[in-house]
Amino acid sequence: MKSDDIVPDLPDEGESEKKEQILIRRLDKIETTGWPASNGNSN
Amino acid sequence: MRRPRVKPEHQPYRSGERTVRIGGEIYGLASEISDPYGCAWAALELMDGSRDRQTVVECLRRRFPGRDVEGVVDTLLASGHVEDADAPVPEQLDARQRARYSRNADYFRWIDLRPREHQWEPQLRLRRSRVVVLGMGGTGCHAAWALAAAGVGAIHCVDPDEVELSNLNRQMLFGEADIGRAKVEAALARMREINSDIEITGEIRRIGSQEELSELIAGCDVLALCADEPRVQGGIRRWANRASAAAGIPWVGGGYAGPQVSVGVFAPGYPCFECFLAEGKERGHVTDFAWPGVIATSAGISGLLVAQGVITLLTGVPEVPPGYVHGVNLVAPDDRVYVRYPSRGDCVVCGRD
Repeated sequence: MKSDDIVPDLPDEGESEKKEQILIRRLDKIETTGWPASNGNSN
Repeated sequence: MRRPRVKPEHQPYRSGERTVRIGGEIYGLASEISDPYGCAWAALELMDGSRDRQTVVECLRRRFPGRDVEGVVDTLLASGHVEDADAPVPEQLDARQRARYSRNADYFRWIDLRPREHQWEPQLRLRRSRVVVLGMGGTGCHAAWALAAAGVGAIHCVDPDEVELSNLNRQMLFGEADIGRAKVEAALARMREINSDIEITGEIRRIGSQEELSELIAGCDVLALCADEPRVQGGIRRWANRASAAAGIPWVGGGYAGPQVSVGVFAPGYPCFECFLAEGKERGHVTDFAWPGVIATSAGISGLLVAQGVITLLTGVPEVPPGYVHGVNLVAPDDRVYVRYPSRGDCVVCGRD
């Protein structure tokens, strides 16, 4: 899966309005880890 | 959203001077937020469930005058990392059911990245659903158990056979006292012990044609195909593919070849099982092994992945497009079992040419 940009516009240094926007990007697989695992800390 | 609150499982942390990570460390859930002037972090800190959206916006305006703080807040509210601390508890679930499914609700809240009215929406969808489980062997027992435990509202189990001693290494709904008993009868009794809040029905029956299968699945929301016989006339999976396509019903089929478990999730509008077969054949894959060796773990994973596929189709959580086969290879942990072929335009079932 590619990174999924929820807000497609990156902050642009040349445009003050866009500069204020935040970007939420799903992490790529290589940026995440399958560990540690817990058992939910619940009964 | 009345009182936004960052989901507890999604607690953010600063990953750099101008970046925030949120959603934990799980691929598919975790995100990184670019935060060029600190407003996103400040907004997340304010979203603790004690303030409404407008109060959050006003606090941010005082701190970041002239900035588009409303845009920041609304982006975060739409991200799936935030829930409503004032979300109503649905009347359809009584206190006992809320206690029974409390871990489900927490789980769905965690993995559901679509903003919802409340965290019980996926559970209510399960409750409204009817699933046919065809085949009560190693795969079917685990699938039926998981669907009952998860709270699928109506489950109909179908199998022609009786319990044998050699079934007990993997068919977890049966015990020694069930040997000689119809599988469906024993399975229904055990499932009703597990969850008496749902409708569990069944029939002792061998499906002998695509027409019989069409009749069986009429009115259900998803077919869980946990049988691999009969193999004649194209096989029961082909019947399932065609009967489901004709009725517009999604289906999940699972099984194992010894240590390799594979489960397919299919639905109208997406590449179908026969696209998968044809594409695999062109690539030289042999798809039909039928040796009897199986252990509880491979059967269990098979059935549980079938149930997972069914739950995904019923709830829409997580948002994964159907039309794929996935699984595990127990002799090679580094082997990623995952296939998603494109739709074939010349497919006799789903092709549009």
